[in-house]
Amino acid sequence: MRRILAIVGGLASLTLLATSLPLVPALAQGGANPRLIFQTTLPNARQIKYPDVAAAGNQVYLSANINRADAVVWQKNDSAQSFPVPTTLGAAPGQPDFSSTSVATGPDGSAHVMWMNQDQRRVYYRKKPVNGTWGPQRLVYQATRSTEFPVNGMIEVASDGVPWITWRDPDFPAKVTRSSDEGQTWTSPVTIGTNAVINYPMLAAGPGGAMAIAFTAGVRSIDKLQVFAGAWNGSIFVTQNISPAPDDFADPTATYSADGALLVSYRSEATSGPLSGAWLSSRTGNDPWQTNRIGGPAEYKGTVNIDTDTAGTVHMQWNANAGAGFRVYYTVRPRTATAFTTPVDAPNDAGVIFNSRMDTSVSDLAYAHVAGELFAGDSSFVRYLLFAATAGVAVGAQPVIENGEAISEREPTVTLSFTNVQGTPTQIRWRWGAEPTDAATDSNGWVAFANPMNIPLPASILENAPCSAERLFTQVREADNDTGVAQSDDIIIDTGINAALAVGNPNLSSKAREFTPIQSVPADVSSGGASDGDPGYTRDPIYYLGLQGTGDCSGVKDVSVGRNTTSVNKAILVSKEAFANVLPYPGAMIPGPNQLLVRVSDLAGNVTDYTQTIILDQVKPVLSAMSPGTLVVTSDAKATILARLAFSGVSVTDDRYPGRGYWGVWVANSRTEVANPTTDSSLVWLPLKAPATGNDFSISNWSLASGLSGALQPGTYHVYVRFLDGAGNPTDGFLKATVTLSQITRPQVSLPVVRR
Amino acid sequence: MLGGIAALLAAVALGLALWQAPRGVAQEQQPILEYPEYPPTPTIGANPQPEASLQGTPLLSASFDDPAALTAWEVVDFDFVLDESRAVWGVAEGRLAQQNTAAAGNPSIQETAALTGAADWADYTAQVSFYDLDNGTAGLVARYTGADPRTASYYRYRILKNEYEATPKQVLEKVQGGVATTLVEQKGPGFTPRAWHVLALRVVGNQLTVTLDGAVVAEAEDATPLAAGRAGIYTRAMGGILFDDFSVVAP
Repeated sequence: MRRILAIVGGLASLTLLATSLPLVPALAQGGANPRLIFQTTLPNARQIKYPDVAAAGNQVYLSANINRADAVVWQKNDSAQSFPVPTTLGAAPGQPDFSSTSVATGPDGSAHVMWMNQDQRRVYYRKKPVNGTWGPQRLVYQATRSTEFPVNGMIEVASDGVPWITWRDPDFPAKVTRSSDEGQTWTSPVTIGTNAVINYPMLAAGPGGAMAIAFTAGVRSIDKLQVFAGAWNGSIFVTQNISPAPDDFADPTATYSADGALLVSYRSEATSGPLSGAWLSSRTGNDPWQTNRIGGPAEYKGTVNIDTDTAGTVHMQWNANAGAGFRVYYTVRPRTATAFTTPVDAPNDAGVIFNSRMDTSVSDLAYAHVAGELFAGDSSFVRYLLFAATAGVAVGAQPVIENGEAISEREPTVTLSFTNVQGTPTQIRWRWGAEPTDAATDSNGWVAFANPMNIPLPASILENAPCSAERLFTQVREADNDTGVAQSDDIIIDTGINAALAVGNPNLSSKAREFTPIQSVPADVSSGGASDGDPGYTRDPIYYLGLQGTGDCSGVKDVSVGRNTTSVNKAILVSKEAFANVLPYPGAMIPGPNQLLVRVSDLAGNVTDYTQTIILDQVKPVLSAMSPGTLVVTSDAKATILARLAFSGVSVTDDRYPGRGYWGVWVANSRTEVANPTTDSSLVWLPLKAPATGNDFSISNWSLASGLSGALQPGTYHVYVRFLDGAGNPTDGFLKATVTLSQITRPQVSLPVVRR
Repeated sequence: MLGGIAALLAAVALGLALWQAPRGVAQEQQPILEYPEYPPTPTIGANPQPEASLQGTPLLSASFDDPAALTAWEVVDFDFVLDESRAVWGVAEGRLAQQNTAAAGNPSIQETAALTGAADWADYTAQVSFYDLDNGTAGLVARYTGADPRTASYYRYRILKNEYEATPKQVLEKVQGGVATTLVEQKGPGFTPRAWHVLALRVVGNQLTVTLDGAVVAEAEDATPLAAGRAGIYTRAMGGILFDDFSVVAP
């Protein structure tokens, strides 16, 4: 019975195996028209090894180590048939096998290069923004252990813009690291699996920040090379052996298809027989791997390259001797097709090409850019081949937020329109800050597509600080579920006014020094009183308005004032993000509290109202005639012109100012006794805020020279003090005190001695 | 009832047979893509016989009829390579073949040689027949001494196929301590691939003579000759080249 169950189990296993191998589909030639455009050898670059190529938009980047000296990058338009002089990025000396380079492009079109310096056992990185220049050289990794000798490095950029770099040390598993700060720092390398890797570990970026890896590793139990692949789970690459048989398979590359499946292409080492060929394994989600034998028996060398272009066409390229010597083969599978075209080949008129890499771009055609090593008898050169096929019709729509405005106001929704609509999208999903996935969207999954449409801003964005930069990812699909790649647009959500506002006492000493010369102060304001006070008070029907809006990303547009929302005056345009002036109170100002509403608008359309209460106080405070308190002036022993003013028992009453009835003191010096300080025009009064809250307090460092002219002389100094309410109204009553200085000494500051 | 049992047994037998089949058999698939039709590849003809003119006292003769013949040879790489990238030479179908590199079997342009013989071999002629498929480099080594190929001393003659752009096509050189000094170089011609050629390097005293298909193609005199050493076959680790009928004779 157990035997029968085992047999049944075996049959079940076989059934699963059979279903994992789909029937051979018919060839799809229809209109793809793959062909070789041209091939060329790059000049002045010898002794290269493992050149790499990457494309984004219509730009192509090709990297290599050249002349046993430098890591360089060439850049050209995707259809151009020549390369300009390369840019040298850094030192890559020594045997080219161990100073290899790799190039990749980011979702924004930026170019990223890593290279190895075998003498230093270091891995380096540089980035070139779109339309920018190459940034500084960054150290990715420094080998320190004796077992470390980084080789076969490869870079890829995730859809979230994060560069990933993988490499291996001979006889050890591969490692991977990544950077989230433009390459300034890199994560500690994570070891990938346990098998020692042979040749290059190859990365592939997928939607939603996904990253996959494929590599060749020896399997001791069968003494064969096998191909492993898997995706990053947030901590490690979860890889598995995807080889179709316990035989030698090697040199994979990987890509994500337009529908999100992970595709891995590789080769058999067998040159004949049922396993010989180029193979393609694919996996959707966590489904079982499906494997197809793409190319038939031949002698295959190097990687079998695969890449999905932005229109969803899958390109494959490999080097093989299928009866006409080693040639470069190329085939495509359009997005809507189920099979690859008959491969086209490139004549090997210049020599054998091997160790090739491929990347794709889509402009007028779907281009496949191939870079390989060409040996011409005495040295190796970079051989570039440009293949092309008919550009596929992708499903896609480039989102444009708020009609392309750079900044949007704080509104519950934004307008979303689309340009470059490809295919016939019927549904859309979106997500702020990351590509949408089945598990995470801000649209509650797929919703009906419309152009234009309004989409809500999530509360998380509305609660952000003003001027937060936001990126919206959208993804569209057709009725048959053909899904485009995620596309994005950026906008700054100006969630409010970011400005500093000062409203109140027109006599404040802290007013802006530069006034906006647009308003005149009413002529009927009274004179007299102190030039400082409590911000919430005024002794005239005027007020100070200061606005500093340089922190507002869209810019402060205007400011208007009124007693309330229904009486806001005509807006005053703001110049250079700032405004400062003394303005008449709008309407009649009554003694006591008066409401003032200040409305500030920015260029994004945000409007914010600020309310301020200003107390009109035109009545002087009164110093008690019966018990006004005492004043004692004491000179500082080290600097005699500085004095301490000690008050005790002060008694002041005021109709508006709370507490002790006064905001501060008004102080004047005199060398002679003054008969009536309140009317003597020779006194220069200076306001000082009174510390503490009680009627016993002191003020230090009062300068006995304040307000006096001429040279200071020893002798008696008279100090007069009046008391100020919040509006700066002074008491008529005063305190006075004298201090006699036997000598004049000034404060001294000791500076450090500077010697030459 | 009996029919049902028989059917069950047949099904079990079939299932057992399939279950026990090797995994690879179950994976057999017809390739999706067919390669373009190419003209038939020229057949590699029968191995040529060494020239009767090679006279002298035989020191060694290898026809590679036995795969075990490779045990008498040492394979060296003249560049630093990882173990997985060592050049691989093999004996198959009665020939010695350069078979790319270890591990994944990829071609590499590193220089490599298969050495044989004795360290005290002084004056001799080393001769080999070669047939190039797509390697493009063939050669011979004589009077090889040294433990490390990168610092070894030897004479080397190398010739490129005509299709290569590089020149010179032929170089006879003395390598001492890993540093090569050209004795003779010829801009051309090279050799014609996909044809058997007979290459011989004669070292007698300070005289060096190279013949290709019986014709002298290089001669040199070395005032400070290397004294003695092993002989060998030289090429690059790019695969695609066959050697046969290697022989060494003393004058």
